[in-house]
Amino acid sequence: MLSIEKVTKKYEEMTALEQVSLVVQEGEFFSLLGPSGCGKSTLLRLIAGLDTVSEGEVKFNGESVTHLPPETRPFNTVFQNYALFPHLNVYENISFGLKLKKVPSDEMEARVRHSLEKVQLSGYEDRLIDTLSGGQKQRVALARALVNRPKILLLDEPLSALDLKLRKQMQTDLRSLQQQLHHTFIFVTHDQEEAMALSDRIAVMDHGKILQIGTPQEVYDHPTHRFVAEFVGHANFFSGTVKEVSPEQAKIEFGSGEIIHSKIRRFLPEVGQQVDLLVRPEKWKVFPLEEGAHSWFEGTIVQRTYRGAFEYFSVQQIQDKNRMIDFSLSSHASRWSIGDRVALTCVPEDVVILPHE
Amino acid sequence: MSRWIQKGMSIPYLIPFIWFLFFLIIPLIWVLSYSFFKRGPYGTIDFEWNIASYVRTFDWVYLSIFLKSVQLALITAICSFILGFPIALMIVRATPKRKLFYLILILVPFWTNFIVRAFAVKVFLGDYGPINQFLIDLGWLSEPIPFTHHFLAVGFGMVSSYLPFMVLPLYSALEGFDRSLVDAARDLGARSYDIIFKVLLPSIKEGIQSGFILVFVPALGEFVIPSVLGGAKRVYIGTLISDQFLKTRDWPFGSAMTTLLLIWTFVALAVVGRMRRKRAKL
Repeated sequence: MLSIEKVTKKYEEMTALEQVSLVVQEGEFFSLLGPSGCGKSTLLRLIAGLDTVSEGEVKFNGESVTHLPPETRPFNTVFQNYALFPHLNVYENISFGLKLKKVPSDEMEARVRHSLEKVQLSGYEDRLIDTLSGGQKQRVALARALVNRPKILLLDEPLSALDLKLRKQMQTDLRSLQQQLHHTFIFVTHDQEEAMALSDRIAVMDHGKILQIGTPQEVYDHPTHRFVAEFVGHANFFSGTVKEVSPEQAKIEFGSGEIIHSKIRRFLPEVGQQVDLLVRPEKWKVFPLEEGAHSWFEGTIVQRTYRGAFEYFSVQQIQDKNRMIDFSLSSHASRWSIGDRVALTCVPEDVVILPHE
Repeated sequence: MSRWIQKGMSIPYLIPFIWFLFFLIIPLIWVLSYSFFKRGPYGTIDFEWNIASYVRTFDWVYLSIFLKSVQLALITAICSFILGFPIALMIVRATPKRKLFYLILILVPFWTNFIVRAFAVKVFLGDYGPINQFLIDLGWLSEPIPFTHHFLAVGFGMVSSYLPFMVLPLYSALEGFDRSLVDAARDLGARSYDIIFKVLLPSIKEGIQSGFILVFVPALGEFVIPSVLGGAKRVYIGTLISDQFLKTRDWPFGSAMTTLLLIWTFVALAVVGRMRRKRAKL
């Protein structure tokens, strides 16, 4: 179990991480997700020991490793640009760590072969790094880290340099490898889809802080911040005012004068408070516009985007022409076209209430 | 039309060819042919085919001079590396502004005449030079140390002249060195010693080889520094050859030694080149 306790990292002028705390369980696939510059790679480097912590503690199984140099920590890293040694061949790269640990040569050979098998690169032992493709380098980097049997494997955007098809393949491989080995993986990425597809839990980061930690479903369905909602998927926002609050329910008034009730999750609003309401595009119920019918929003479809399995539509509101609302449908069910006038409603439970930002 | 352009295009390519032909290839053929002639009684040349000059080069006197020159060139290259590596490392790690400043410092000696530089070293190390005077003023010495005409003076002069040839290729190799490799090595358990000897130095091997060649080859034939700083007693192959042309006037013997020096240099380069190719094949 790895725990990060109130870790702060300051560079001369800039604060890269501020009071970050999190716990990663053994055998978990944990992702650090955020835009570039949010501090996710810095956090990974602090865990690896490649950078020093300014304040706070990094603990592994209850013991502080905060001031241990990287060579003595039981973690290994797969670097973003792979960082393979160009002067060594595949075998020498993978055995680099074992040699330093003075592992006997027959055991070393067996372990290297085994880890090459794991990444499906048997027979590549004598190849020079320059002669490998991006995907192969990626696998060698993975094998080089795994061969040391790290207690935690740290992955710093390892797939971002690969093309889409290869990336999908590697995602599947990485996930099945992790499930097979029951290793703890900490995975840094800026790709929300990748994080959702791979992780047991995700920490969403921005500006050196962790905004939310949760399973992919929690983070998607019940984001705690507007930033999280926007970062992990498509989101519609509109603002409302709280009228009544009970422990389970809130009554909220918004633009078109309607009032809804919603299940309250982590955020308990106060009466009179301004709040942001979030609806994911796929949650809308869409009907043809009829006079006198009850709906939340009414408008005209102005844009239609085909995305394979899904189609996205942008609706220009009748009441406020500057505001757009997006909804999506699975393509085979789609029966709308540009110019259609539609009414949108939503189940109150599918609305997320967020503090106003 | 296109043929005409092709012809026109080839003229710029001809210029370097003509240059090499007149200033390198023809003089070299000249040198090669002179080496098979004989010295006339008054330093003239007797156009009579023989290999007497080559036979003479195998005399132990000359062989030992050749070996001494190889030794000097090797020591120069090694010392330049030992000094140059930390310098190159420092330049690479400096801020961009400082980097430029350090590079200019390294390059300034190139802008001064090499003979002037050799004499400057001589003055610097001389009996009345700053080093000896400083030590005497401190009371640590009563007599100046006779650096000049000592091997140390020659070595000092050689290293200070050839250091830039080592620093620049090392610098450019280090500049291209991927620093994340250091992170990777540390992550895999490497300590400073392992990082330097198992990752850093092997990764910049080609830069080190270039530096060695750039220092070793000209150092082998150097004649100004040994003659200014080493005095008449310290004869190296460069001084020996220049003496054959300028003092003794034995052009055939000088040519024979030039030819042999050239052959040995090519052999050394071929060995290094082969090492590289072998590596590339793997």
